[in-house]
Amino acid sequence: MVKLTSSDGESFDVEKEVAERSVLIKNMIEDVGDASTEIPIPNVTANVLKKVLEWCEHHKGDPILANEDDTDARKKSTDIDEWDQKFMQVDQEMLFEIILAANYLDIKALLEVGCKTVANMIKGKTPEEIRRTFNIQNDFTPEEEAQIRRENEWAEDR
Amino acid sequence: MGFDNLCADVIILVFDYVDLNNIFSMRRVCRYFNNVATDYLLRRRSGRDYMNDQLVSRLTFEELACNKTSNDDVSQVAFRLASLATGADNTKCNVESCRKAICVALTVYRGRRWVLDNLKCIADGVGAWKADAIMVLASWLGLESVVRKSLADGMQVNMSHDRLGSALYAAAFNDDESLARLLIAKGADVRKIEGSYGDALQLAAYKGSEKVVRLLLAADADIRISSPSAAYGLYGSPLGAAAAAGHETIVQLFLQRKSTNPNEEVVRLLLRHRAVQFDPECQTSRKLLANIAKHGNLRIVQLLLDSIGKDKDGPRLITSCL
Repeated sequence: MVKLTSSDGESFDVEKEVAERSVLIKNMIEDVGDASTEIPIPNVTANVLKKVLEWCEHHKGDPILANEDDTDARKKSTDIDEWDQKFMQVDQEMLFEIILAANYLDIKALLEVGCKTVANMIKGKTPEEIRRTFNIQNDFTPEEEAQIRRENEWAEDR
Repeated sequence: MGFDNLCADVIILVFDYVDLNNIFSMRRVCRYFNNVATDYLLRRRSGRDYMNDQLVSRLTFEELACNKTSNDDVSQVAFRLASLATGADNTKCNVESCRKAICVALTVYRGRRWVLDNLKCIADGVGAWKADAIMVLASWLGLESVVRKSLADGMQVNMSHDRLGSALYAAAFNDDESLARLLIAKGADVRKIEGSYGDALQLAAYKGSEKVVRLLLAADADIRISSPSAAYGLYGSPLGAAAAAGHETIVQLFLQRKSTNPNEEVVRLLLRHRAVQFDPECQTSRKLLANIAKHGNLRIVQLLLDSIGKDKDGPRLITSCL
């Protein structure tokens, strides 16, 4: 077992195999050399860490995704397995907290699920619909907006 | 915590799962997303075939702006231009305007594909630009005083710079009537084949530079307008370019020329964009139909006749036009 401490001081006892879904934690355990030491997770609060660990628990047997650089492999599928879909049915605040935590803790597969979830929320939406979905302020001047529209033009109607 | 609180590296991961149209939509959401999406397009360069000149110029601009060496080089060029410019032209020379002009010139002259392929080394050599490059860049910036001075110093009016093209090409892009008039008076070759648009007229036609189009037409009665057999440039011919961009006035100017004989593709474009409403009562339409009929291209005649409706008596209409 490994003991993890969230940024707000809550401790979690986790199976080593579960905790090691996070490359960051895995490396820390290796560095410390003693799995019984408490590992602080300073950037993640208890409620987010709990959620992340729930995901790690479910996926503990999965093969670890290689950290290969597949930057050019665009057109990736946004299919998400059923359990993960249910798991991601959280409010936006939590969704983005999970994504941030997955990025920080280096849990590639969870980060991917999070990004796919957001991608599915963007797909097919107009800029205004995206703003409404994510509650984002339009901070463009009318001139800037017109300029970007011109730059996008021809590309958009293909 | 919201979407716009994520760092750029994570937002870029999201972009990997959406298509190009979504990324274009994201550019219009807010400044932050626009910056991230623009950077994404620069790095990934996917969907490059769907980018227009303006977007490619913009990406080039961003690339140059974050490159220190090229920034210093562009500053030097701006400084040289400012020292040559007189009067109001002086205020037009700053680093930003020069960088922008260089990016537009590269895109419009060398073409989008070349620019995207050579993005990393695109500004190499800017620091060593000689007087020829300075004159052409001055044209792109609309600095007539500098162009006059360069010509007076013996610079060839027809000279084309490897990256920036010729002064007339630049004037065609900007619809810079005064500069184009000066260049033509100094003997600029209005038929010179150059750049991704093929020649100054095709570029002016695409860009909607009506004043320069008129000047070019006035300068040469036999200038290429349509070439059913020998397509060149991005749109095959100036008429094709004007039709593709939907510049109705320019299309009309071209159609009024005696030699105009558009090919089938161009006529389809014209009809699709409604750049030309084929109207049997209108002189231009009648002339066009007569021209095409004379050249014997029956499929095009049919296209035009179809566009005015089935109830018209085609054969009689053609006879009356001839």
